[in-house]
Amino acid sequence: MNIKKFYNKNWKKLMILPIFLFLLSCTILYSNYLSTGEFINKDVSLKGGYLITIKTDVELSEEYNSRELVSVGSGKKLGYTVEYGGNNIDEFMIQLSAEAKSNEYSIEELSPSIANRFWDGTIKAVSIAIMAMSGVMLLYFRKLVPAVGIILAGISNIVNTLAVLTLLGINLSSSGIAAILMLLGYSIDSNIVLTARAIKNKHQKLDERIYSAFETGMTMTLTSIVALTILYLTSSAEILKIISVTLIIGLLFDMVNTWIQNAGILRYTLK
Amino acid sequence: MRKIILSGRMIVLIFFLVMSLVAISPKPFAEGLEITNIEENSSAEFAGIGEGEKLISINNKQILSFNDLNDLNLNYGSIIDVETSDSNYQLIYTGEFGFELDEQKTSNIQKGLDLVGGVRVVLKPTMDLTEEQVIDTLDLLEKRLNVFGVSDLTIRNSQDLEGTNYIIIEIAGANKEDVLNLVSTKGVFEAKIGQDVVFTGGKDIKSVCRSVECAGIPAQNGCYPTEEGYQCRNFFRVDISPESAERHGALTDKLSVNNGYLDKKLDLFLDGELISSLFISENLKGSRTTSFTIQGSGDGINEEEAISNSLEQMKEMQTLLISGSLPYEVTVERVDLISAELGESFFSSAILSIILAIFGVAGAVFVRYRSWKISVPIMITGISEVVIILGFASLIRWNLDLAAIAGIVAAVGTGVDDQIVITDEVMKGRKLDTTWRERMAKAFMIIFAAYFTMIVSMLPLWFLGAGVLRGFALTTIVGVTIGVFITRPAFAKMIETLK
Repeated sequence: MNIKKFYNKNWKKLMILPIFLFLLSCTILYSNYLSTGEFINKDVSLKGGYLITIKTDVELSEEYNSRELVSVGSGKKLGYTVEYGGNNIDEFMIQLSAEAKSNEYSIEELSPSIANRFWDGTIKAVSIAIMAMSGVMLLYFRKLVPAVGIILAGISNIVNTLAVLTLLGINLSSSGIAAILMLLGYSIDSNIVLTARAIKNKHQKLDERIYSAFETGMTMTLTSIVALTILYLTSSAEILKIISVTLIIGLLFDMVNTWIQNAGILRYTLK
Repeated sequence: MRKIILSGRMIVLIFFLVMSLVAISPKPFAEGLEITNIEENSSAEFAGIGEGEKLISINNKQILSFNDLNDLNLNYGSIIDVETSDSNYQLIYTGEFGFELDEQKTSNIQKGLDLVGGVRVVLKPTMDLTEEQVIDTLDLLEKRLNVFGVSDLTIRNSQDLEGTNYIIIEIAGANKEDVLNLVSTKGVFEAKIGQDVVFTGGKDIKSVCRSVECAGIPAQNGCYPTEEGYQCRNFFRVDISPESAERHGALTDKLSVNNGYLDKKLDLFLDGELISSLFISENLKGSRTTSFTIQGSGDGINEEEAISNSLEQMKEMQTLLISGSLPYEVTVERVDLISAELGESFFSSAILSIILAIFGVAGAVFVRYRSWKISVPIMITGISEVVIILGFASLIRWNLDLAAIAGIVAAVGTGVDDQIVITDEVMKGRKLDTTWRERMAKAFMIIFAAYFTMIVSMLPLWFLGAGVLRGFALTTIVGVTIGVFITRPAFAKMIETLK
């Protein structure tokens, strides 16, 4: 009950937190833009180049842009995924396979033009997804403010998550984009629970309604985080790791953006 | 318990589970290699080997995997003993067996390239094609690539948001160079006498011989040492159309004889490049012959390598002759080479991860509600969703790749969210004394809003780029749809009855 009291007393002051986080994230992305020319660091799947998966038990030196692959259960090292953006792949592979003492590898090659096209498509896909979701929300709640609140929470989640990924030095990949869209879906889930309970249960007081939604929504978010943590720890597949780590970061922000930011917006407008 | 199982919603769930298991038809103990396709006119066909037979041994060595095949060290042209589940056969080894092999399937689930290994090529036509032209190109590419075995090949057309066409080819277990050669060669084959065309690849070719009698490496003086190593000649017979034979008759009639040969040669061109010139013997002057022997060669640092390269070159020529030239030129946009061995460990890892995650969810739910009567139904529902998604994928022959596995995770994850909404509405409803119908109406209002937003956010992904994440979008959409209409109603019934 302490959370409830604390929140009821301080909900206005707490609103500073999501606003601060949003501005901080924008600053991080903008400073990345100033230093690298891009808001988000993209990996080879979005900007073109080579992605090599090599099977080895040898330690690779720092000069490679690589990530380690580890087996489930045994924790045994399987090999690495290595990114290469240069244009002499044959020489690079000779060097890499000599250092890794392994000839078992796979190479994914992506031409910059298709990568750019994919990136433009992505921006469009995400924008269309957000617009379509806003449409569904407007139809569902038939009120402007709750629908806008939900979309704002979704956008804040994305911006915050991208900023953390930039800070951690994780490059955005095509699987990362899948994760961003999944994040949008999850964050909408918890926000719909909040908004639906807040505006549709008329026989309780507003703070009671928000609290009951809070219980449900937090259970949802926490079970998702538990499941994704297990997924992250047990899988060696790059795509599952990227999706789970992006979603965990996003869901942590979702707690703030749903239960402080969006709940605050609802309180202002529904009183 | 009885009340739950006999309720309509549970019967629907059980029905779909059974159907899915039938569609997947798991055979966990299957092992070894199966013969999937017999090449026409091959010595395997003459020996009478049938499709679907299981390969047991070659030259009395047991064969359980493709690695066992590589360890055999067979000699070109030697007679080998092949034992299958049905019978024993003897055939001539011509650098290949004349049949294709596939690992025996442990279920009907088709795994994507990143799980089984192979080559994925994304091609872009150099100009805008109409739908019909795209289909022509796909047909032709399929004809060429069938060299690698029909069962493991998918060719499809994909469009991105700007409407640009891409052709995506996925071949399991093939070699990158072979595939690239076959798809990026325009393949205009012309046989000319002087400036006049006698026949071209494609429609002028009636058949190409692939059996030992009329194709292969000549038994005498087929291979010989060169300065760099070895070279091996190859030959194969082609039968051409009557119209082409007519042209040959008319053209050779005008030529004069010189030392037993005609004074002009038959020049063979591939994409404008002269690949060989054949002498025409004097008795062919004016003849309407329909048979020609095409020759080629391959080099290697030793005899073995020269034989295999020469046969490789022959096979490529045969394929290009039969398929004809690509009607529209394509550029290679992207090539992925995916190694199978990493794929195998990826797959077991992904499956294990999903099962562990479902257990984790059940654990977390138990911590919140302190009741197995909610945890157990959540586990049952989660696992049912995975089974039904896999069943659906087997039924429509959808290739499950890692992106699709991520989609399963997304669908099961949203499923758990929805189940928590149902549980909370039911629990609260009991306190507030509302009816079952009212509680469910409230829960499903939220669930449907979430469902439609999920669908609209996944649809753009379906059209994105060259469709790399299509598997993800499709599995998510299918998964949440199965959830909303099949498993979630059953879940609601379970927790209502188990209170």
